[in-house]
Amino acid sequence: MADLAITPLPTPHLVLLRLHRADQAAFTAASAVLQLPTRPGAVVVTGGVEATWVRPDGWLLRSGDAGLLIQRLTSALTGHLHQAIDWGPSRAEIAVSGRDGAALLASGATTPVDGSGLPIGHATHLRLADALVLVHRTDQANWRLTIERAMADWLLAWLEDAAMSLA
Amino acid sequence: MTGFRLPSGGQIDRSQPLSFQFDGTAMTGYSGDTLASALLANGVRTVGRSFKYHRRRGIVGAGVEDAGALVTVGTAGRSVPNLKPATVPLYEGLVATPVNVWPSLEMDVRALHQWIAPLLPAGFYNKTFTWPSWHLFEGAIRRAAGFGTAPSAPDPDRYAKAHLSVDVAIVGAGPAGLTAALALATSGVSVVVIDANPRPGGSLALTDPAWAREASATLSRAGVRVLTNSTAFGLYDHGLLGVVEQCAPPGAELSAGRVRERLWLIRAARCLLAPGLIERPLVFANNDRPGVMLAQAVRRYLTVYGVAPAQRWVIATVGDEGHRCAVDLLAAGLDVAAIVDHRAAVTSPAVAAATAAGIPIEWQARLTATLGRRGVEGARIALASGSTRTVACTGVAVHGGWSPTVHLYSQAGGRLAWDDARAAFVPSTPVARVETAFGWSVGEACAAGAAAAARVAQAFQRSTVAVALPTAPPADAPLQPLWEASGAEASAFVDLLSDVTARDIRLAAQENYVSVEHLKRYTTTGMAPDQGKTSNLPALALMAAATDRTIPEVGTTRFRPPFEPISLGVLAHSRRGALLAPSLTLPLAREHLGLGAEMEEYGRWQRPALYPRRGERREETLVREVLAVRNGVGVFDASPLGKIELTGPDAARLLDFISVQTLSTLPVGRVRYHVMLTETGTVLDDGVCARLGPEHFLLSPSSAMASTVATLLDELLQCDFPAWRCLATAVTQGWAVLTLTGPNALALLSALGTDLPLSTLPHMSIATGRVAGLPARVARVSFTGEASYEIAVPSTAAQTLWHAIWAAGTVFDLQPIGLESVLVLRLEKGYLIHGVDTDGETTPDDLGYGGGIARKASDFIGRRSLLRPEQRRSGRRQLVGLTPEDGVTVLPAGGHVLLDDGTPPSDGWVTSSAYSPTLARPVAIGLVADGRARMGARCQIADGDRRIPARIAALCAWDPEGRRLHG
Repeated sequence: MADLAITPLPTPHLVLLRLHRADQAAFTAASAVLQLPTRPGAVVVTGGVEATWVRPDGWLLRSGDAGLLIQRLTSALTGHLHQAIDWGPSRAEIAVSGRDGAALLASGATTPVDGSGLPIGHATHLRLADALVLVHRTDQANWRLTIERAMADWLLAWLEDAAMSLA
Repeated sequence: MTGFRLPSGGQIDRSQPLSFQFDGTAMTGYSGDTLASALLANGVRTVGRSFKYHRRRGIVGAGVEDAGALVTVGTAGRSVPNLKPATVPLYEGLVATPVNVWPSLEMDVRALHQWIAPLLPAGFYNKTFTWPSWHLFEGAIRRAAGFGTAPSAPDPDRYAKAHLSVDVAIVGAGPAGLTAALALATSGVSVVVIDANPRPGGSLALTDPAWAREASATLSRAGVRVLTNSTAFGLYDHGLLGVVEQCAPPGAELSAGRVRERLWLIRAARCLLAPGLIERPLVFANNDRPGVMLAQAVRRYLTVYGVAPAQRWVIATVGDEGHRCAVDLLAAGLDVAAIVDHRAAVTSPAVAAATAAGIPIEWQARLTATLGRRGVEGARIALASGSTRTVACTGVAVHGGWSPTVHLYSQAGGRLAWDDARAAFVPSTPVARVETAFGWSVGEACAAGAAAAARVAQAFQRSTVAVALPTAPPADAPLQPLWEASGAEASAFVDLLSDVTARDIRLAAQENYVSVEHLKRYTTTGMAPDQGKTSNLPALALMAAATDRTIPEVGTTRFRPPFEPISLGVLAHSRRGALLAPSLTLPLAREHLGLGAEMEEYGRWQRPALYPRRGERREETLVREVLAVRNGVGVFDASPLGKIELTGPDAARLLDFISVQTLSTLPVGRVRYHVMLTETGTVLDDGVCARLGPEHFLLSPSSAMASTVATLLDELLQCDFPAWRCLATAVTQGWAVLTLTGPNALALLSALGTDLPLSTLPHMSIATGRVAGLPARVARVSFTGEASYEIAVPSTAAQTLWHAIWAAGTVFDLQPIGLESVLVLRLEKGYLIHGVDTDGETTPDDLGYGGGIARKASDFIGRRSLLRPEQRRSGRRQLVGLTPEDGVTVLPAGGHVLLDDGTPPSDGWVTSSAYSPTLARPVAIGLVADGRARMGARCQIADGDRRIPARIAALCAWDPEGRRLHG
């Protein structure tokens, strides 16, 4: 029996923050609200907000209140080109946990999801089966998958099917 | 006497007998047997019939080199055809059947093909059976040829896929591979070892199995992963290794949770190839007769499986392996009538052992033919003296030398060089990130493995450890190759699996198919399951002899994956049924199903096609839904429509750059239809663009092209215009969109409760506010020809909006509308669908949107291409309406538009067609050459051989003035 749990998570409270890459002033203004990681895959938490680097000009922010966070960002970034988009409605999340979690993800992911490929506390976009997924390795045997909402049912079915191959 | 189980010996578990069936006959074997060893132990000589001539074939090899006969294993959906018996592990209840026999293995009617063999040489289908027509014979010939039959029942088993990233992948767990793995095991690099056999060791099974067992245990303790029963079938670019792991024997019933096979995609920084050697057969008359086997295979059956394939043997050899085989046979209590050695007398430990055992050796002799009816009963030997001798025997062991297994090396781009001393092609040029380790003996192989491991370790700036090596037999005396032992006999086979003879090779030379590539294709040698393992070199040597060239002058083909046949099941793995390809689920999928929607896939989205009522036919549903929109109000789910938000001072500039139309002049709150082009000036997509604020736009590409357009914007902003101050983000899935459409749409929207100024919201406008208490954007745009309101709310609020609409819609007799009905509504109106009503050549002018291009001030993608003569010539296909003259025939979509006399060439084709419930007649649109200039002209629509008279008509068949849109 595989040591594995696959759990759909409730609708996340997420904000996608986009800043123009050349606009250092905007970055500084946003940093007054929260710390934005600058290295690919890095995740930092400040003041209850988890910020994940998802692209050179974009961060996925997780907080208990997306609306409030958008207000704070909008206020801080007034006059700066930015987008602070309520990202929760467009995304779904699935938790994968257990010793066999890495094997499960490795059955569909072309890049390593454990060890140095995805260190604990880091997140990366990868193609899992045929879905583009943001995988955040939260600890040794826990991964959080963030995916387009419309793709979630398919990915969940795929994960459950793939898990049967590990039994 | 045919084969039997020796009273003792072997590495099988005699305490675990297994029952199995072959060709309907019950037999027994032991755990640890292969199907081949068990068949031999049961005295089975004829295992199958050959591909073309239906000759009897038996077991030849003891592994992937077994080119004797193929079998089907398993029944119904679990049956797997075309398996080599030597690669199938025996299990309780195994059912195997021979392939390509009718009505039975023993009485195969098609064995008559042997008598018409002169009519069936290589390439016969180019010369014979051509009158009156090849097609007269083709069906029968195709049925008669070939191997096994794929099962028609679904495969009930599971197949899996796994990815693995390692520093080093070692292919082969023989002496070289194991030595390399041991040397690297504690070096700090991650290593995986891949071997096709159930146990590591390779040829060590014959010389030092204990060392192999200890090596395997050491690797396990060091954390080195060893994938057994795993065949590396392909080495691709950047070190990607394709491996199939046989997790359960073919055809066996599986317990829950077990998988049949696993496809490993292994990305290795370095590949170390140590797959060993393949023994070559000899070419002589009737060398395919059951009982003729490779010498080392005979040794394996004796040593590993405790099986004597026959009682009395003749050994034909060009090297020392034949002598070792003879000694092993004698030690097992079997008779060896003679060793027929092609060489002049040599001395070596192996020869000395055979001599000491009293085995007669004929030097400078050749085995020229086997004799017998159902299998080997004798052998004819050409002696050094020039005389011929016939010897009674039931088995012939042949050794034609060794060929390194170079398939993966060649696949990776390695070039082969000819080694004259060994009479073999060997790896030559270095290949990036690939190391090879070959040796002609256990000792050489171990040394090569250690050296290769050291090179690999150096690449990682690590070092290897010294390895205690296994017992190695003394070195062999040189071999002397023999490429053909008998003259021009028709039954001297080069490729047993493809039934290619030495005569076929000569025929290819005679007909000037002398290039190695032509030789392969003309004769099919080296194709199919053999993949050149045993047939390649004899074929090249015979071609060299026939064309007075050397073997290296003939050259080799480049090997291609797969090294061994792999199942389609493992390639598909989980991709079947609902998991075949990802599908996208609407936020309101459950609600649609609750209303009885028939869901179909449109551009990866599962969307409601129709909402049929009980007992309603599809056509009736279409009519009802379409008329509901025309006469009242309907609601359809438009959530998949693309949504890309653009913000920034350069957003309008970017939109102008990607659109034929000028979008920067769009007032805030208004919506404009626009067309996007490729750089060649053809239509990329169409859609609408709304301006939400001075620097805020919402672009809505078609659902199928949403991600393409988003990617294009990203590319432009990242690569071409990084300084432009604009951000573009795809938000398609953040919003659910329900469209109210029909004359009562406005009333229903009002009834939902909204703060939007609906009465002043014109066609092609957008407003942001609240609807049914939810934050919403409402766009008044239409794809049906009726007044329509697209209500967009956050996806998480979709259910709330849905229920509110249905609660308010009852009094309006609201109907849910499926996409099929929407497609009819848009067709009545003459609205196009990109990719359906356009093709890769369609320009905006072909669609009637060419008018403003010349006046547009700014540049845009595709503009320059629109000025080319091809895009401006007359005769281009333009989108127009088409009407059947009889007023009742629905024109076939895809039907070609012909001139009025119904003759080709085609003037275009029907792109969309349907019966219009609104107009009570068929409507169609199509791309027709100079269509707009030929309005009203007669034409014929081709429907196979049938011709349907039609006329070219206006694109829009319903409400051309647009009163209903604006009303």
